[in-house]
Amino acid sequence: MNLHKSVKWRRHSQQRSRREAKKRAAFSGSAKTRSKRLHPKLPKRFSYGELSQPPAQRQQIRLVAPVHFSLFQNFEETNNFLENMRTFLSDGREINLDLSKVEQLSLETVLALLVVVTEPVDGRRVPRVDGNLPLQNGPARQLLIASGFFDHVNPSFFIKQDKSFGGSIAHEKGFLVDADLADRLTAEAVETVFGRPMNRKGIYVTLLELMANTRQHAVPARPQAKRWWTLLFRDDRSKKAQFVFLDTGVGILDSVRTKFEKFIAKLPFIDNQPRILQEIMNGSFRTRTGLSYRGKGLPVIRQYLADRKHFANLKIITNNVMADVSSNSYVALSSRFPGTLFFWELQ
Amino acid sequence: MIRISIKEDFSRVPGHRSREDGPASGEEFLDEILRPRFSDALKNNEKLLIDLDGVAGYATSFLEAAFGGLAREEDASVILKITDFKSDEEPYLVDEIRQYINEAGQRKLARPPELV
Repeated sequence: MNLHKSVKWRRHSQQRSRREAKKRAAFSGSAKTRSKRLHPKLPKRFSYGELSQPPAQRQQIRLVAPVHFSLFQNFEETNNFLENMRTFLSDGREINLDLSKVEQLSLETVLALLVVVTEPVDGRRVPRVDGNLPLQNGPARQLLIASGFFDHVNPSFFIKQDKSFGGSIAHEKGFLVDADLADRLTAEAVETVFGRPMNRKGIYVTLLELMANTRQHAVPARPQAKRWWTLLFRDDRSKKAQFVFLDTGVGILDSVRTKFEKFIAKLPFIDNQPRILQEIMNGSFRTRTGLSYRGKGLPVIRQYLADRKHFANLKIITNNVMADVSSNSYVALSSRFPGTLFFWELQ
Repeated sequence: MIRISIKEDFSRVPGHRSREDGPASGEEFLDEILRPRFSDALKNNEKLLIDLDGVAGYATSFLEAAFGGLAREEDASVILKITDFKSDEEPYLVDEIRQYINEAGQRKLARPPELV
C-alpha cells in the first residue's frame, strides 16, 4: 500500500502543516501585535464556552415551534414562527428548530415548513437548518418523518420510520401548469378514497387553475417568477386524501388590486379584504386584465366544490384573509401571510 | 363529417391557456388541430364534430383559448353552424363553449376598425 495515500499519513501531514502555520503566524508582525495575538483580551459578551464552540454552532438561532403548529388553527403564532425562519435564513443565519413541544401539526404547516427550508432566497442557498422531533410519539411526529422534512433538515437524533403510520405524503413543485402531474396526483387520491377510478375532473381542474394562477399572477409583472408547491396526503386506513397547494407570491388580493387600492386597503378603518376575496371566489370581482373571460379560475373551483359532494373542506389563506369556502366564512387576519395557501380534501 | 376527438387527436390531459403556461394548452390545440380541421370542414362544406369525452378535465382557459380563439379569427356564427359538440361526461361544457364563441364574436364586432 502506498504510504502517502494512507489515512494515517494524511492526518499526520495535516497536523504538521497546521503546526507550522501556527508557528509562522506567532512570530510574524511587530512585538506589540505578537503580544496581542498571543494574549487576547476577550470581549465581555463572549464566554470561553461559546468561543470554544465551532463557528457554525455559535451562529445558530434556536426557534421554538408552537404547541399547536397549524396555520388554520393557530395562525398568528405559526405564521410568526415561519416568518422568523424566513428572516433568519434570508440573513444567512443557521437555525435550530426546536419542535419538541409540538402536539398538533397540520398538513399545510408541513408544506409551509418544507418551502421555507428548501426555497432559495434571492438565488442563494438555504443556510443549514437543524431540528428535532415532537416529544410525543403521535401524528405530528409521524407526519414530519413521512413528509421527508428531514431530507432537508439535519436531525439531532436517529430517524426511525414509524410502521404504524398508515399514510403517505407526496410533494411536488414547479413553475408551469403540469397537467400530467395533476392527473397522476388526482388518480392516486381517488384510488385511495374510492378504491377504483372515478370522475375526478373537479380536483384535476382545481390543480390546473392554481398552477396557472401562480405562473401568471404570483408576481404580476413577472410571469413564472415564483414556484408553486403541492402536497398530497393519502391515508389508506381512513380512506382520506388531502391536498395542499402553496405559492409565495404576492397573494390573491394584491394581485388583483391597483396601487391605489393597495394603499386604501392598508388604512386601519378599511376592512374590506375578506369581502373582496369572497367576491373573487363568487366570480363577481372584475379582474386586473379587465377581460370578461379572464379570472374564472377561482370561481370554477368554488363551483366544483358546490357541485361535487366528494370535493370538500376547501380553505384558503392569502394576504390578510382566511377563508373556509365550504362554510362561506371569510375573516380578516391581523398579520399578513406571504403568498397563497389552499387546502381541500376528498371524502 | 370531420371528427376531432380531443383525447385521441390531442391529449388526454389538456393543460391551460397558452403555450407559455405548459404543454397541451388551448393555444396549441387551436394551432395544431382545431384551426386546420375547421378550415377543411369549411372548404369541403362538411360538419365538424368535436368529441370532448375521455379526458382528465378542462380548465376554462383551455376552452376559451381554443374556441374563443377560433371565434376571434373566424365568423362566430359560421363556427356555431358547422360545429357540433359531444360531451356525455360533462354536458354543460357544450353551452360553456358556445358562450365563449359568442362572446369572442361579439367582442370582435364591438372593436373599432383598425386605422391604416
